[in-house]
Amino acid sequence: MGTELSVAFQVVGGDVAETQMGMSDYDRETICREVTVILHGAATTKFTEHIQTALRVNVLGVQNILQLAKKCLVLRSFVHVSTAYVNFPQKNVGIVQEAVYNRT
Amino acid sequence: MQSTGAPVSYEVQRDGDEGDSHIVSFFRDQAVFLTGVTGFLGKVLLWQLYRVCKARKIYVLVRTRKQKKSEATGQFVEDQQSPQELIQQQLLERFEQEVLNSPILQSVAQEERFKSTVQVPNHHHFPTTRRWALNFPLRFRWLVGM
Repeated sequence: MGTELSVAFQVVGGDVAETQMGMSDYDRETICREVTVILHGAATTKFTEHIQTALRVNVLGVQNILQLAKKCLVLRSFVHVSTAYVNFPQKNVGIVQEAVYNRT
Repeated sequence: MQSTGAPVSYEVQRDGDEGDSHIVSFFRDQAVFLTGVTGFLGKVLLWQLYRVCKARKIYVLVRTRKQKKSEATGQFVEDQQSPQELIQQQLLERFEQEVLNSPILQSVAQEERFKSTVQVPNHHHFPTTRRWALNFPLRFRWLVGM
């Protein structure tokens, strides 16, 4: 059971708010070499969060993981889970569909 | 701007019990890096990728070094890294229960709890989000006091 788990599933220690995401060099190299899909769902969703913490996690965190994504050699897809509030100023979109949008 | 309004529509496949959706089969050979797995959406996502899609490899970013209560383990984590196997075990064991009780899964796929949420037709997804989207400019103005 233990080995079976660790084959498919691996915990990487780190924090999106830190530079280089607080990962060890070994972890980062492994991820850059192997990862094909990145799903970024880390954020603080507290509306009462201190502005600096919110900025570090929600803005710089995305920046950090994008920098990591750029170094991934075989990356096929990067998915960023934003919130319901982000996309509304776009004109011509109307209702935001739960679907994949074209790039650009 | 012609591309912004046109979401790529994907056909929702609803095969029999044996069939995999194209989303499941896509993730089967992928190595996925996940952040935010201790959160509301992330735990469902992890569970789906692990149990349903059976992704080839899942890397999960978890805060382990902060000297605070770790959401993943429910214990106080010391300054050094906790043993990774321990966290893995606890993540999956706790998530299994939490995910099965999650409002996301329950509202999205009550009758097919063990299938991928993405197999559910669009209209089964949160009906309230649509209404939210419609009212949003109003709501936003109210929020910022305009």
